[in-house]
Amino acid sequence: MSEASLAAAEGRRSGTETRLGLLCLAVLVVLLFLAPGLVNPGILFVIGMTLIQAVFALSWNLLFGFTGLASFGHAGFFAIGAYFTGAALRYDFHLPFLAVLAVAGLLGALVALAIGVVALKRLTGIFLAVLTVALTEAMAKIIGFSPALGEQDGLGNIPRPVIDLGLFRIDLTHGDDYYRFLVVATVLIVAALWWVVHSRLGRTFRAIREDADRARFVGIDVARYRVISFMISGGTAALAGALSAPLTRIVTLDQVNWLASTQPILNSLLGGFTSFWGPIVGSAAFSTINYFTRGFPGLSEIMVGGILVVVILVAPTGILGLLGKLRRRALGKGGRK
Amino acid sequence: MKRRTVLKSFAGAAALLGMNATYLRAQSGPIRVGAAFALSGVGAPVGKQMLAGTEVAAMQINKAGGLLGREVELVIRDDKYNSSESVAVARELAGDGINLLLGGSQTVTALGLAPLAPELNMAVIIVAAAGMPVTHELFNPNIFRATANNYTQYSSLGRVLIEQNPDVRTWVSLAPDGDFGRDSALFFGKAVEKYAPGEKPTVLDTIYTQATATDFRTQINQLMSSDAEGLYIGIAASAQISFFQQARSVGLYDKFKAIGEVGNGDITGKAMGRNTHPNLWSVCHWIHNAEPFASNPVSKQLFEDYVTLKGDEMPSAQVAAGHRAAMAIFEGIRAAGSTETEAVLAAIEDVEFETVGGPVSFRKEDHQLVNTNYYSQMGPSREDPFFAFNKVVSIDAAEMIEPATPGKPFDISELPQ
Repeated sequence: MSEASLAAAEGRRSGTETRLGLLCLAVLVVLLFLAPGLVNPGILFVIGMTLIQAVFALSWNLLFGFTGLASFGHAGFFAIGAYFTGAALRYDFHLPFLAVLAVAGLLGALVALAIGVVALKRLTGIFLAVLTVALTEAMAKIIGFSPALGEQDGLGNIPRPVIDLGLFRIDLTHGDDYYRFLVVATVLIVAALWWVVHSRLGRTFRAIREDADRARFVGIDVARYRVISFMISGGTAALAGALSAPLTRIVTLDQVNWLASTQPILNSLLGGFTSFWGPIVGSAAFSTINYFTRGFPGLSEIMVGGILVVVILVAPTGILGLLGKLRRRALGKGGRK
Repeated sequence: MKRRTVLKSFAGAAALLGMNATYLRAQSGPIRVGAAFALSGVGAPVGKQMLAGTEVAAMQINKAGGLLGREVELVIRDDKYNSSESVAVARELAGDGINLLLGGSQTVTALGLAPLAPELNMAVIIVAAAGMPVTHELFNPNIFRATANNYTQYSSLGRVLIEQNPDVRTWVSLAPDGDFGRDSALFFGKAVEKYAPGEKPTVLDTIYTQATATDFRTQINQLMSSDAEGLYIGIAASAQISFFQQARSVGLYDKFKAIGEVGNGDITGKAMGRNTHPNLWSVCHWIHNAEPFASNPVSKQLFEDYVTLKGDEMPSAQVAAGHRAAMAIFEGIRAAGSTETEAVLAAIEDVEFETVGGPVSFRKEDHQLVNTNYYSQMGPSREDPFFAFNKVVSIDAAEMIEPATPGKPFDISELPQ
C-alpha cells in the first residue's frame, strides 16, 4: 500500500474516532442530564461535586498541562468564587444569579491578574507556587476573622437561586433543578476551555510550555500570555467555587487550605495532565473510588495514594495516557520510539 | 391490545411492585439509623469514640428486644470532619431510604447537616456540635442538639471556677484565635464576673494563640507577667499538653492557683501524670469510676457493655456523648411507636430519658438539650496513673441556658449581665 493510501486510511480512522468521541460525549451529557431520574440523591450529589471538581481540575491543568506553570494554592481562587456566591445568595446582593457567577469568575481573574502583575517577570516555578500558596493562606486568615463570612464555622444556610430572565423565571431551589443547571454550566465551561486550548491562544500557551525562550525569540510576549493563562485559570477556578456554593449550601475554611489545593493536582495527575480530558477522567475516578470505599474510613485515601504511586511509576501520563498506550499496542503501533 | 399499552402496563406493574418492595422493607426489616461521624482525619480521635458509644446504645437496644419489635441497624459513614462530606453522606443515606440520622460530631459538620434536614425529610440528632448557630440562626424543626452549647458549657465552667476558688481575684484566658476560642473565653470571663461572691473580680484581656500551636513561649511570657492568678485554657488536645509541659518548667504552676480547661480531662491527666497542675478543672462528660457517674445505672451499664464490645477498660468521655445522642433517637422511636420522620420529631420533643449524667430532655422551642453539666477537678497522684479526679461538681443547664431564640443569632450582650 502506498504512503498516500496509508495516510488516507489514517485520516478516515481519525475522522471515525472523532465522530465516535463526540457521540460518546453527547451520550454522557444526556445521561448526566437524566441522572436525577436514574440515581438516588446521594449519588446525584456525588456526580454534582465531581462536575465541580472536574472544572476546578481543568482550570489547574490549563496552567500546568498547557502553559507549564504550577500553582499550589489554587483553592484560593475556588474560595473566592464560593464565598462571594455564598454571601451574594445569603445576604441577597440584589444581583441576578448569572451576574453573580460572572462577577465571581471576574473576581478570580482579577486576583490572578494582581498576582501576575506583582510577579510579571517571575510568573513561573517556585515564585508562582509560593505566591499562590500565600494567597490561599491570606484568604483563610481574612475569612477566619470575618463574622459575615462565618469565621471558622463557615458560611452556612446558603439558599439556592432563582434565575429571573425577565420573560420567565427558572427556579433552582429544588436540588434536582440546580443539578441540571450545573450540568449545563459545566458543559458550557468545558466547551469554552476546549476552545481556548485548541485556539491560537492555546497554541501560544503550548509554545511557552515547550520552550519559553524559543517562544520569546519568535515574538511571543511570554509574560503577557502567562498572565492571560493565569487569569483564565483563576477565573475558571472561581467559577467552579461559585457553582459549588448553592449545591453544598455551605462554604467553609476546608475549601481554603493546602489540602483543597492538592485536589485538582491529584485529579489531573490521575486522569492525565497531557490530555485535555485527563482532569475530568481523574475527577470521575477519584469520586468513584471515594464512593465505593465510603463504608471503610480511610481506605479511599490509601487507595488513591496507592493508585497515584502506580500511575506515576507505570503511567506518568495518567489513566488516559495508559489507555492510549494500551490502545496503540492493541493496534500494533506499540513499541517505544 | 396494542403493544405499547401492554408495555405500559408492565412498566406500571413493575414500578408498583418496586415501590411495594421498598415500602415493605422499610416497615418490616431492621430500623436503619444513619450514623455519620468523623472517622478519619483530624476529627477521628473524637468521632471514633462517639461512634463507639452509639454502637453500645444500639447493642443494648437490640439485646433488650429491639424497637417496635424490630432490630436496630446502624448504617455507619465517615463525614471526614468536613461539611461537604457530611452533606454528601446525608444525601446518600436519604437516597437509600434512611430518615433518621445521628451526625454533627463537630460544629463544622453540623452546620452542613442542619439546613439540609428539612429538604431530605430527616430527623437529625446533632451529637456533639456546641457552636451557637445550630439552635439559633440555623434552627429548624428537624434537628435536635444532644449536647450543651458553648454558652452553657463555658459560662458554667466560669461559674464553677469562681465559686470553687473565690480567693482568686484576677483571671485571664488563653484561647485559640477563632470564633470558638473568642466565644468560650468571653462566656467564661462574663460568668466569672457575674458569679463571683463579693467584689467583682478583674478579667484581663484574652491572650490568643493558634489552635494547633506547639510553641507557647510568647504566651507563657505574657501570662507570667500578668497579674492573673486564675486561668482558662481554650486550647485542646495535644496543643494543651505542649502548653502545660512548657508552662510547668517556667513556674506557671506556682503562679496560677486555679486553671480551667476546655475538656481534655483525662487526656491531659494521662499525659502529665505526676506533673498535672494541682487544681485543674475540666469540662467533664463522663468519668465512669467517679461519683455521681459511678453509682448511675446507665453509666455502669455503658461501661460494662463498652468493655464487652471494645475490650478496652478505659473509655473516653466522648463515648457517653455518642450513647446519649443515640438514646435520644431510640427513645423518640419508642415513644412515637413509628419510624416516620414527623412522628419521631414530635415524640423527641416530649421524651425525657436517662443518661450517664442523669435525666435529660429537649427544650421545645429550639430543640436544645437541657441536662446537668459536670466539671471535674484533678491533680497529681502517687498511684498509677499518677493523676486523680478529686471532685466533680454539677450545674443544672436550666440555670445557665440562654433564652431560646430559634432563627436568630445568639448575642451575649442581650443577656442580663
